[in-house]
Amino acid sequence: MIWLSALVVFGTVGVILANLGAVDSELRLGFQQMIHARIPWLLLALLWGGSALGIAAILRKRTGYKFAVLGLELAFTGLISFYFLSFSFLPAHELAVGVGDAFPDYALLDQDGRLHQADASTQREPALYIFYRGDW
Amino acid sequence: MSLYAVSVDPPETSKGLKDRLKSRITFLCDSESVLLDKLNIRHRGSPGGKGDIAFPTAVLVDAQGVVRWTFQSDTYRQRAQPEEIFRAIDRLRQEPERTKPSREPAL
Repeated sequence: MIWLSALVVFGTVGVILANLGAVDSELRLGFQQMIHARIPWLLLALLWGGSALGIAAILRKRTGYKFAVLGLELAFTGLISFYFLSFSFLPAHELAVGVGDAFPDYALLDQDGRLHQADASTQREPALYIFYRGDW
Repeated sequence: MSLYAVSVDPPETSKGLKDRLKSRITFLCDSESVLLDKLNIRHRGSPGGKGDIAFPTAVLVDAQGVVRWTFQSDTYRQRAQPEEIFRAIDRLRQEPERTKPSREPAL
């Protein structure tokens, strides 16, 4: 049973590691849907279920290697749960504009150093602005 | 319809990302967080060690400069889904004009 628990937990960790640093188009194994859920219950259930199997294995028969495997499983499960349930959540904030408000004026450079401006006197076309955290 | 990706990254970093993604959209660089502050979406001292960055946000603006749809989440992992964005754009196309904004943004 300890090897089944290890397969579930470390397999899940492997999927996470395989997708670290990937942009959306590079994400594999349905990870895009999982990682972008507000709380990725499937990933967490796999980690918690796998760890529970490991604990059950220890309760059936206590041996040194089982403790070592379970310790690793619990460490990964704890860290990843902390990330998904706490670390990746943002401080409270409220967008200063709502539907029907004017979008603020701006003058910003683009990736080639060209200036883009928008203000009340600028002829515009509809635009979608995606604010992102930057490239890591 | 224009599509802009906005971050605090300088132009050279944004250009690198644009090239890596083979993207055709325009990357705007708000290195001083001026627009972020106007929208109140500056994440001060983010835990990623990158300093101040943007709270992930999407804003759809019509040809009069009026906000028509917004998206925010309380976790940076959650994104506006493409279907949701396309629905907002479809609504904008069906009702393309609002004569003037209801109010100026609070600065």
